[in-house]
Amino acid sequence: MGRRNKADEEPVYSRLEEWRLDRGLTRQELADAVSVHYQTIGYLERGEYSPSLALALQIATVLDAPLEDIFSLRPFTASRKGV
Amino acid sequence: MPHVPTTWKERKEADLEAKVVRAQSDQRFQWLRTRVARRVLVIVSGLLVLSLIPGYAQGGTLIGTGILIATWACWLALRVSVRTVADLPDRFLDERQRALRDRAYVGAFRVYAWIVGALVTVGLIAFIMVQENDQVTLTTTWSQAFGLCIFVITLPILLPSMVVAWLDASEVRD
Repeated sequence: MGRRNKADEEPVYSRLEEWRLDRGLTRQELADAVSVHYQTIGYLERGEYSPSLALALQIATVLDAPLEDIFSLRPFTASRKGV
Repeated sequence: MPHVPTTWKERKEADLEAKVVRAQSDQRFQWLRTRVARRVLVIVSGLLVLSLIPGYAQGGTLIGTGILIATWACWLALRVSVRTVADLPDRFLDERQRALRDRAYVGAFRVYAWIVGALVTVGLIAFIMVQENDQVTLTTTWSQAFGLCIFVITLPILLPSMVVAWLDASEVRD
């Protein structure tokens, strides 16, 4: 089995920013709630980092949203409000 | 009531924690935390550390020490630009920072192995070329030997922060 290039890794698409703003949270507040650095929230929002399952579940709990509505292996086709 | 550190070890730990919290939330020097600034710092640090050997060998102790001080200043700037991620223990890092730090150490080890391997190979080839009856007489000055030693010591100190700075994207504003 060959080594996997970073470019070959399956991207994780995120609607985290949309949910976070909807809940009226700053990056720092969300980061504090899930015990990560606020920059990590920024990287997640930009799709530059794929979270562990534990972190993704923690975020979903804090945002009170279904996990699959925040992170997906397929691009989101519309915003979550259907706009 | 919060626990007040009493022993020397507890005070040291509390001190370190306060420093880490400051470094992780520091909003000064944001201009150093962009991808371009980080990569410029990596290139400058690399050039400085590579010039330690010729600096000491050709320029002597004064020029060599000047380059060493500039290298040290660059290392401090690198640490600020990556929020000391490369140098902190696990308990102060989140999962993204730990993953980045771990990738950086693998990369740093590879770079270090290549550079030291290349230096040793060049040295061996030079020995083969100048040997007479399997004997080589090596004449060196204190500055030349010191330059080589300080290069081999300084490089692994800088490399992890250099690789983190090279890999990491620009920070976001909250």
